[in-house]
Amino acid sequence: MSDTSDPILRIEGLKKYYDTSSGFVDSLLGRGQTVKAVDDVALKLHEGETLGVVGESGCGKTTLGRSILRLIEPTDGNVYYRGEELTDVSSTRLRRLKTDLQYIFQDPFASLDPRMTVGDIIGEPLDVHGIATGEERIDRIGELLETVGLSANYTRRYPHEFSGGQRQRIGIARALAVDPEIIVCDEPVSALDVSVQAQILNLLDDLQEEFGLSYIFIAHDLSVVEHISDRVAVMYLGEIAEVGPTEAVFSPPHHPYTEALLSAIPEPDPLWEGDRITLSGTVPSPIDPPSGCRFHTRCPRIIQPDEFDLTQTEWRSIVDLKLHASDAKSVKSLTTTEEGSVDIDLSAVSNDQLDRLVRAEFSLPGELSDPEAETILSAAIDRLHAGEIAAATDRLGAFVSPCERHSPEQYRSDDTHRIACLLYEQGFDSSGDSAGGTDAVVEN
Amino acid sequence: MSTKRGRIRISGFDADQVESRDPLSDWTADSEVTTESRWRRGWKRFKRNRSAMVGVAVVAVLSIAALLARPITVAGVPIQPIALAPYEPSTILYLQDPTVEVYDPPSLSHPMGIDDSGRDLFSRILYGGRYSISIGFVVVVLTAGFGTIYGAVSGYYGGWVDEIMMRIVDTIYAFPGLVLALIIVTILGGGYWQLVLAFTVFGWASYGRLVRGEVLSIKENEYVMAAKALGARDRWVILRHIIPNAIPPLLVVASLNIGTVVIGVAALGFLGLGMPPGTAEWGTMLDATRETLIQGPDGQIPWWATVYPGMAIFLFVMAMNMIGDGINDALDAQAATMDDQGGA
Repeated sequence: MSDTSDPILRIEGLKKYYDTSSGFVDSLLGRGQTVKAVDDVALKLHEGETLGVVGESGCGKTTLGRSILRLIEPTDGNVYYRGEELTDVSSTRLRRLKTDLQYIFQDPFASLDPRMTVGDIIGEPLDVHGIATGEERIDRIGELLETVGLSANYTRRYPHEFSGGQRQRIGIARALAVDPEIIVCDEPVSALDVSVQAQILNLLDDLQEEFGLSYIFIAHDLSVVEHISDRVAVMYLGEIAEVGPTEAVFSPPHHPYTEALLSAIPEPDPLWEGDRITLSGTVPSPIDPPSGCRFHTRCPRIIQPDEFDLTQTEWRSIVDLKLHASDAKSVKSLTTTEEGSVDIDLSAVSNDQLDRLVRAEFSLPGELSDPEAETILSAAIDRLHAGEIAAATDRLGAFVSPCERHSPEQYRSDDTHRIACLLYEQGFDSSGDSAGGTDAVVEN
Repeated sequence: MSTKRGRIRISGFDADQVESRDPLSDWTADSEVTTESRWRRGWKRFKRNRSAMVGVAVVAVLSIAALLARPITVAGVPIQPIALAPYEPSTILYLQDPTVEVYDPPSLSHPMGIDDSGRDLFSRILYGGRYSISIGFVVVVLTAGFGTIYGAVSGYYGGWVDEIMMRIVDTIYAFPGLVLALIIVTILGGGYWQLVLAFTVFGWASYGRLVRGEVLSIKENEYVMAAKALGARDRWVILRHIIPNAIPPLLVVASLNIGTVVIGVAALGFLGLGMPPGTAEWGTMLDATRETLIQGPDGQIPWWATVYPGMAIFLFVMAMNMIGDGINDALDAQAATMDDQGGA
């Protein structure tokens, strides 16, 4: 049907939105909000390769994995398996296709039915698809157990008698029973001890070689992904931030988010002094994701507009102030609480003192390096002093990063590596040192 | 100081090179004991529960006595020739034997005395179990079966299906069960299958609600999604995963419910609405002799006419409740761990 360079699985514009309205009264009144768990994801999986998907908790990794196999119905988008569109096929055909597409669950304690014996659990796919019966079925179950490194005598035992690692092996055996082509592994090792993680990863590796499997490997542990993946997709808030071969994505990291994730890998060397990039704030809510680049609210390398000439830290702090001011309920939440002083009455403090408190909260210097920016900031703090948060927010509105305005296209550094960041797009790069800006980490 | 990673590498922990080490645990292949299924484990615990076993014995004795009370013939062929009861339940004794009178007290030849129409009470009580006990079991099997499927479908599909199906259950719940049964029996008239129908038509609602609740929590388990990921049909998922996991609480309710149905049947019988008058059904027997509760002929109170049928009902319902409690304890997961790990 296709030549070898064609991907075995192609995902295009996959979206999964959830409606937060609970009950039919809410939906009748249209009170629900939309949670964009997975938003416009495009990926390719080639035969025999492992595609790692990484990202923080709640960024939509699991939802992505499940919508690919239609375990949850995607809202929009297409998934093609060997040219066949999965999102369109009948439920009967989809069931048949499950013999080619399988799923390994994160929690081996929850994904095995406690009332079934291991033999029945592994035999279930055989029964469901009528692959083997009677003697043949028993043989196949024993064979599968041995493939995943368990004893064939375990067939009559119950899941609660096994350790986490053994259970995950049972889960893997169940997925293998139908002789699949693609397995989506949803954090298969994150519920396990570190020592057992390595065993399971090696098992998955061996199985890939033996059966020519292709994996979509979802994980939040970068060292795991680095170990097992041929290519990596980095997800942030339902979108793909960067995708490419593991080497190209990780060394050196290109996307600021990938860089931050990588810097968070713990290092046992006490003399190691790498820059640990701490992202400010929490992951924004997928109900109302930030405009433009979704990472701009936390990005340490957010782009400055041409009219200002600030240091990167100053600029980051100003954007933080602006973002906080826009949803602040009181001036108090924008000021630091000084040590020693119990509770300052903000309506009584002088303009200078408020200025100091606000700057301290956002670690801004006494005077910004760009006079024009300083004027705007002082004016905004004046408004805050007058208690007019809305007016202050208006003033701060002058600080606009291109990252807020423009959604990054996926920039291609080459055929396989795509980065969704304006730093790598023409016409946005203002500071000049952006592309490959992590050289310091690499060279020192 | 350096910003370069990976300068420290941990070596020497290569598992292949370690020659001697303590065993990770004292587990060996020989120390394995064969696994018991949870049902077998439950049965073991049930057997240790003395009151539950007494209940089983009472129900067994009553059931066997009812079965063996009179010979059973099907299409002229006797399939059960034994007759424990000395007389036919409907035989009026004083017509054959002039020494017997209405309301004769218990004696050696009539261990439970004679009832208002001159029939042997002992025979009637043995035989009466056929109605009461079988109605109890038949009704519970039917209601639990239908209610389970109803509740499982409602809970599994959720949404509008659930909404509509549960409102139907709510409507049934709005009426007291016995009153509904009473209405049906009044409309259809008394009789065995009419009684079964009366208790079945609306009796499933409580099972429906119970199972739906169970299913709502079970279907959130990952193993249900795992089964779907394997390509299982909804029917397969419901029958293989959801219902088996919802069975334990259902079993407890069903076993307790048998007693309730028997009481209900007896209550209708006592109100004169159950079986046709004169039938040897426990409740109907109470109804026929209820005037004796106040004063019988000659100023005496022939207590045996009411006490024995009442005792039969009481014994059976009590025994069923003891069994129900026993099942509840046997299947209680928490008690299981206490038992296995505690002590010694």
